[in-house]
Amino acid sequence: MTNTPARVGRGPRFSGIWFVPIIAVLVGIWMVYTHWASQGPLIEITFVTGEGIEAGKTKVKRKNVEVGEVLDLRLARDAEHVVLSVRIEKHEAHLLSEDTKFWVVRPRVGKGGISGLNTILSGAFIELSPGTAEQSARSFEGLESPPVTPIGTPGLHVTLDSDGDRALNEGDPILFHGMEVGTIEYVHFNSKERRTYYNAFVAAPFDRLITTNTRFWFSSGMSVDMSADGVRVELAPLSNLIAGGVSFGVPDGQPHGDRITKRAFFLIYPRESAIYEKQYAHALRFVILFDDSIRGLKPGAPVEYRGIKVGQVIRTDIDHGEIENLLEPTSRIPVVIEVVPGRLGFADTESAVEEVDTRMNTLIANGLRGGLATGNLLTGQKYVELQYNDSIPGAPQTFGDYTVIPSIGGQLGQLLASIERTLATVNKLPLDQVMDSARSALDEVAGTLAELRKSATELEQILADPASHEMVETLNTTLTSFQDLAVDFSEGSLTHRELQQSLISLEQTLQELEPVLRNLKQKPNSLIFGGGRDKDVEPKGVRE
Amino acid sequence: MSEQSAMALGLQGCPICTKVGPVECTSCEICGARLHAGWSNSIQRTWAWLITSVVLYLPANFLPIMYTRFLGKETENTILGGVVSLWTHGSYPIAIIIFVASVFVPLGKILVLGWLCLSIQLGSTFAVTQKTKLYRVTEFVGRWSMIDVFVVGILVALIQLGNVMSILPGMAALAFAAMVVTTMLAAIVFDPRLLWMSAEWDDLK
Repeated sequence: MTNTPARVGRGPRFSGIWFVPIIAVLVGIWMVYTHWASQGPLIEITFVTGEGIEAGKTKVKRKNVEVGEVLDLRLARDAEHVVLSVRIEKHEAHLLSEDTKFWVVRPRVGKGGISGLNTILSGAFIELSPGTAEQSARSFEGLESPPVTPIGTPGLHVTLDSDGDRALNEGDPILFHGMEVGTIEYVHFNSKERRTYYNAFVAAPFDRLITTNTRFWFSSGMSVDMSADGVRVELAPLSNLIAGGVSFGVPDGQPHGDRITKRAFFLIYPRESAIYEKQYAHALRFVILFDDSIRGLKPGAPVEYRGIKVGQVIRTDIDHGEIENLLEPTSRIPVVIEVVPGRLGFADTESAVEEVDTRMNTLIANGLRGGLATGNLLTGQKYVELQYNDSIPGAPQTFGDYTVIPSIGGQLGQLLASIERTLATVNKLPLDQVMDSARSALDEVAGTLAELRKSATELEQILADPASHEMVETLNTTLTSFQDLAVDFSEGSLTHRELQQSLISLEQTLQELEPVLRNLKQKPNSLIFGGGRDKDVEPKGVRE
Repeated sequence: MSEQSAMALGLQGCPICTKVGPVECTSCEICGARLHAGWSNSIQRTWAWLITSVVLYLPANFLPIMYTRFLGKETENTILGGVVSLWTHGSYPIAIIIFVASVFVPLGKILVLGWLCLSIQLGSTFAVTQKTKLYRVTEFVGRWSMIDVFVVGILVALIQLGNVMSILPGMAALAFAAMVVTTMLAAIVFDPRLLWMSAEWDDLK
């Protein structure tokens, strides 16, 4: 091995190995930079409770895709809320707009079922529901429960209101023909108006079912309605029985109207039948003063005119200034009724109200009366019936602010009166005479009957006599021989043929004899004097 | 025996077969290995590898070394976090072993090599024998700091039960392994002979 002399001198100033740390540093810097650059916005979410949320572990998800992570969890200054610092991934930062919603997904048991079961094992996570607003935000208030309808779901938001006793809860269904097509999203009670407002959402494609003529009503679990019309029992599907809900539809016979595309307001009717009752804005009030008991008449009972509902009873109490107490012998029970011009065929306007008022006064003067009638015998529900009765005189009076419609006795009273009249007529009838003649007629009938009985007895005796038996036998024998005789003369028998021939020859003889007989008939003396032709008889005319 | 460097006597040792030969030779007379003094290169290279290992040390300790997924819940573990959690759970011996092997030893290696390089560059003649011994210990112990990487590798290979329980390696495992390799490389390229020649550094420079 040859040894070349060593090179003595300085090595290179920079060894190539320096690339290694330089590359390492560059890679490090690049990593730090990309990490920093890829870091999304840091947002704050406020929740009422931090249950199940762990800093550094709880994820923010959207449709089960991770979009962020909770970095920090701390109490708010008021110690009533918790504030989460959440890092949202950069490429998902566009999801953060002002109306973006966050809520914690935990196992929940609700009316709609059980949800979030997977979080039992994996732990709670925060669900993000992107908003539609343009304005982005970095601070949010978390929802306590998942929003019923995610933002941006195609469909229609409607506002329903009701002042009834029934209430709905968030998440209650909106039904169309019993099918769930939407939900109640938000319930707001306006204590000033004493009404409950509901924000409801009807999902596409069912939102097109909501038109201008759509009516909403409470679809109760069960309703038993005892009114003047009888007893009604309505039963809804089982799920509704528990949860209740709102149904909607267009009353039968009405056009659907135009489709609604913007948020609209609807009244919730107490029951389905109520949607058919048109709502009128104008009504006139009258009062009827009853002498009789008004038991069975309640506010809301119909006022009918010739069987058509024209209004309803408003008040049946006696809390009017005009009545001191009921013990006064002249006190009568005031019943305030409402007559709706719209139901009488008039327009639902102020001018129609005046017109109806005038005409009602005329009618009252002409004998329009109000009476009580029983609508339902089972429950004793009564209603007010307006009818004509000229026999009771009366001019329009006033009671307080109301015009008085004079009352007539109730149905029972009228019935009694008519029975009385009938009885009086019956009384006037000449009943005694009728009875006398009837009695004599009956006597005669009795005599006739006695005679008849006697004849019958005699007949019986005759029949019982043994002689009559013999007679019957003789008769029988006679009939038998007659039968034999008949066989002899029957067609085809010898006797019959002979008889036939005899008859034929007799006929010939008679034909031959005919001219002789005719001649003899015309001239009976020709048999003696011989026949000569008669001259034709000429009619005697007028002599010329 | 007086302390005198081989270089001063015009000799050099073969790094492979330890044959001592004249300093003028470029290859070993026995094994043919390339002979070089390579002093300035050695220090430079050591520094380069050391700096690389320092750069790698940061992600190795701050990034998660493994992800543990247990019943759908994923947790990240860093080396120090693992040590702390072992310590708080009372597994003191294991915590100490991991701390020593994964944190103390690499850091110690880097510090020792850095100190040695510095002392050579500053021409220090202080405790040269002890420094040489320290270097040997450093070189020997370096390969054992891979224990964390082994643990992660075995766990990842063994525990893969999907969502029920699985362990996934993190970036730190890679960085840590690379750091161990670079510290070992730094130790290899370091020429302990330079410790003895530091007195003559100025001449060599």
